[in-house]
Amino acid sequence: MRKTLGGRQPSEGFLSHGAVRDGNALVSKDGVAAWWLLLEHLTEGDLEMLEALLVDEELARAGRFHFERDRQIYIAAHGICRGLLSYHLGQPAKNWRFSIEDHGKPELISPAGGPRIRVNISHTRGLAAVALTSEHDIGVDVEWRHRDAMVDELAQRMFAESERRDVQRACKEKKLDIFLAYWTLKEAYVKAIGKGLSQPLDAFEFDLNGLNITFLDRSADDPDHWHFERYQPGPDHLMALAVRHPAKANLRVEAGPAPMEFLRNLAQA
Amino acid sequence: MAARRASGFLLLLALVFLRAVTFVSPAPSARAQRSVAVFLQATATDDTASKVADVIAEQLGVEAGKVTREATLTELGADSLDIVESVMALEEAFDVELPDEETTSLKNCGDVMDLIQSKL
Repeated sequence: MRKTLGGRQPSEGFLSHGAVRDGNALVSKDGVAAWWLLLEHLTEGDLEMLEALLVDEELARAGRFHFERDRQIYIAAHGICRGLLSYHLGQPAKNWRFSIEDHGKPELISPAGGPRIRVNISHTRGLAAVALTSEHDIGVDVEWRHRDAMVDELAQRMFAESERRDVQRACKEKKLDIFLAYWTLKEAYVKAIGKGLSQPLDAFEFDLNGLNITFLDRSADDPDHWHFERYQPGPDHLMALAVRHPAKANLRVEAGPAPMEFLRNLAQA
Repeated sequence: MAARRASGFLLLLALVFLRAVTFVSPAPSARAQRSVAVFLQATATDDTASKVADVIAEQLGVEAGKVTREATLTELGADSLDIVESVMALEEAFDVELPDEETTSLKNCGDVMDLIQSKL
């Protein structure tokens, strides 16, 4: 079900206990839960079902997309986001409210008296994903493997030296995947720290083998506090997850396809 | 004293609208507020606007007529990588530089058009 690329194997996590019951919140600052949803896996009525989870503002934004496929994936992304929150915190999907931080990053307005819930969304052609944890910075990024991109030029413009070299010397067949591996990791990190496009992408570099980050200015951030995962949610997509955590050894990450039955029940509640 | 408070409140309103317009096209009154906030910026000529629209249209695979001042690149189907590629294509088309720190505050195609106009 979960296809990891590098990183560690999944450990027993709180997703496997099922959705929250009786008002108990199922979140942990040592746990990360992530869902993805492939558009091609939606069946009859699923899109309307996901729309039913959204609030008016999201429905209005969805309606502004020029292409139907973008409208649908936006609905999917926000639907599974509300679904993931409800799964862990037990409130109706429409309850969740977000505020926009300085650089445009949406943050959940956490329920009073509980932990600070962090959640991040990403979507690309045909795939939406969401990741959730408690307290710590988290970012997720997804990409579509068949896009047309001038990867050598993009790497030249934006990547750190070692990454750029890796992309530029890759053979034609592997070049886009290597570029997207770096790109999704970098985007996941940037989204986690919430600085948006003001964070220069060449100030840090990844090692794809160990999924380690190095900061070119060592005082900028601490590599030991960052954990990364990569996934291939389907044959046409790549995904990266970034989470800041003070004691990585305690971290448990669970990622997999969004549970449609749960979402359908939630939409009818 | 009252005038200072009022202008402070108006500035706060403008900031709230600026945040809100990141995601949806502003209603006419919000547009007016925004143009008050950015009145020092150049406004693109029809020629520039049209050329920008052509570049973006080609990048995103939409008709140029859809690339209006109010449209956002995201609404036209761009993700983060598309936006970077669009910026690169615009730099090449206009022979200008659009550094990242200047492009972060762009909200819609009109902002893009005006930024480019300011560099010509």
